[in-house]
Amino acid sequence: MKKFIYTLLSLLMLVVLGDWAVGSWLRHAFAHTSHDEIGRLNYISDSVTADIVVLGSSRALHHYVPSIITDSTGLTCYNCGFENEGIVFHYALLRQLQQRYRPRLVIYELTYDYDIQFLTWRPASLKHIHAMAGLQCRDSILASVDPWERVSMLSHIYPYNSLAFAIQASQAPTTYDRPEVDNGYIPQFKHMELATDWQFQPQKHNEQVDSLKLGYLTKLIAENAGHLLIVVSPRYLSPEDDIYGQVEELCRMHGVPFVCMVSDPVISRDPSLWEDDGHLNHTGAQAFTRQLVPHIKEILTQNIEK
Amino acid sequence: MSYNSLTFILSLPAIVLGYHALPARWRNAALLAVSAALYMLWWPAGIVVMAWVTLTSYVGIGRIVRGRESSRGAMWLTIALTALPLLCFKYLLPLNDAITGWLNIDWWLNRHRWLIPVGLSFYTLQAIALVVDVRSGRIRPASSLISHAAFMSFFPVTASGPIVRGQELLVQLEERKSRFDPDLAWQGVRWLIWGMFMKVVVAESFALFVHAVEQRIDTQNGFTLLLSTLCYTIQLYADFAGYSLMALGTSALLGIKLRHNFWHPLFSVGIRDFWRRWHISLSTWLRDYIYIPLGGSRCTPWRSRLNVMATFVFSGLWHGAGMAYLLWGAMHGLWVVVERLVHFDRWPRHWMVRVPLCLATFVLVAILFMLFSHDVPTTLHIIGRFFGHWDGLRLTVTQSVSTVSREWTMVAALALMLSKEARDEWAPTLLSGRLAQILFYACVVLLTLTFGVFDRGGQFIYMHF
Repeated sequence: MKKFIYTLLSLLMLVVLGDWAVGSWLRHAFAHTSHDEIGRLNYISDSVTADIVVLGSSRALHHYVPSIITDSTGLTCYNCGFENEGIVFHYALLRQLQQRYRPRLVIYELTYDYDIQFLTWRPASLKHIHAMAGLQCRDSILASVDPWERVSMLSHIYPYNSLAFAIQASQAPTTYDRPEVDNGYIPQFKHMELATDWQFQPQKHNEQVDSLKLGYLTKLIAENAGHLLIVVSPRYLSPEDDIYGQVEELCRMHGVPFVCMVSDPVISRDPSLWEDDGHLNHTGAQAFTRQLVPHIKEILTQNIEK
Repeated sequence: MSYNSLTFILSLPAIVLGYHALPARWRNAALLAVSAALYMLWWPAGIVVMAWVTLTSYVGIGRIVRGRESSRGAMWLTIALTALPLLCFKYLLPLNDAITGWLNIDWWLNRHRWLIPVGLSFYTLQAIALVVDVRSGRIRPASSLISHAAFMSFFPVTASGPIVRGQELLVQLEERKSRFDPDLAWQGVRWLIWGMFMKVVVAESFALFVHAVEQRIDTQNGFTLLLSTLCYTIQLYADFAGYSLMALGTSALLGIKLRHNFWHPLFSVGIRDFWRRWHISLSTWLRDYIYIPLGGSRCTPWRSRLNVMATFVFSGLWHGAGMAYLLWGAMHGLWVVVERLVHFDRWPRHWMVRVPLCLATFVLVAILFMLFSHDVPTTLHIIGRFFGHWDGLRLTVTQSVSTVSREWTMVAALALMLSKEARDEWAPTLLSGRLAQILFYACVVLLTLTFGVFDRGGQFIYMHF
């Protein structure tokens, strides 16, 4: 019995020491990473001071061209879009930004799957929130997703869980460092290839709402009314959809403009503007951003009048 | 409650300490209470189904024991009543769909869908085995309903097996041998840590890749689809074997020793060998309660082959009601028959023969496992794309830093898993000292924390069977 207890204590001691050592190394390496997604997260958290920021998933990342917005409004703009990330992460990211300064306008690209729909498994949302050491409300956000997160976060490694290889790979420049990258916007230059025998099927959504996601969307809208614009950018051949009705109502309640261009008659039907059925290529992104600019100007003008 | 959940990990020490602190006569009752409570965390109403299976088997066994001369009829009646929930929950709707689809009828049952209670397929087979074993005199029945119910609901194995026998578990519960055994407990801790690594690191990282490929099958090339097929088998193995190891580990901490459910199936040479190593508790159950009662190999060669086919078809249908599962079972059966015909067991086992045969077995098993995750037409469509859309060793899933990091994790985790299994298979005494074990398992915990995937829901695949 004694031998078992000593063995178990030795194991625990090694685990605690190893957790501290590896976790400390990961925290240091993460904070000093300047490339790819992690570098981008560090840059947005520590350095972005743009007047207009764009938040949202990969559809934000590849659809909003900051230089066009800056040229049209005279205000600086930064695209803070993140691949595979949804409302919980973007709410946290905005809170992180707001700890330093308050952007004049936040554009939020709404992606139904990531921001409203119930999925049997979560996208990457928590992975990056864990690592946002400077975020004051980090623990409460994590606890709202899973109460046990408070316990998990006692580990030094856990906040950087599954990021070790990514930290290592992000020490060298990646696609995020290409010269064409424009204030966080990453242009895509391919054209969607349509096979001759390919019958396009628009993405089907289930209407089961994730209360956690909707809760954070509600908080985002309520806390940022007056300087928030919710946008649904086009999808290829998307039908007119009533799945956004709940969000539209929410925006109306809080006086937040909601622009739904999901089935834009020009962009959504022109295959030459698409990289794939969910993402515009650079030409498409430019066309979409130009169409969005009047909405941005309108809300900025309203804010000045107020 | 899932084994890989923090709730379970944190409550396990309390369960183990509480169990051992109790006087021996109270342990089975306590075990029953804990098992029922944990089971109800999945789906509270599921306990009613488990209670039905427990009570019918207990009452049936009582009747069998009391009236030996007519016990055959009592046995069949008990089996029928015990298996009734399984038949209803698992096969009624698919059968109804098939018949009404064929006859083009629409009635109320067509509009009903229900979940299968967690572990129903496992504990039903457990109950049937106990009924048959008591009737044949291989084991004495449980001395009380509490012992019987504790056996039926034993929480480490209820969700996904292993399918434990009375001789294995009931005897230990009845004889109150479940005293704290330090060596067994240390073995249990090691099983728990390794099982968690297999599930959270290996299975979940492979699952992310498989999921990414399967979201857009029609845009993937042949190589990506083939790789995803092989990865699914590794995912399935690591998921199920990981669960089984955690079940063994939890039992060991309670002082109960169970048999391994997997024995390095990725090193199998041939399908017969595969079934000696994969889901051992099911394959031995099928052997003892289907194959041998049908006549086994003590009959004409053709009858014996038919018995093999019937056993594997049953295995397929046990996994699920559908053409894909039936075909999966039949293909395995057919392959075993072919191996017997060509006396595959007598082929040379030099490593130069063994390695390619091992790889071929893995590919064959993986292709057949496609029927687990797809229906027959989709499986054939994907196999067609292996050849029709082969454009070299190029991946067509999106390659970013985060996906490449995930792929490195997959390779590193697989390498570690195979290295440990190779050591267990061929050099079990290598680095077996206590200090080496402590260092190794501490590293495994740290690797699990560093590379584990904790946010996919963590459900075990076999819970759905």
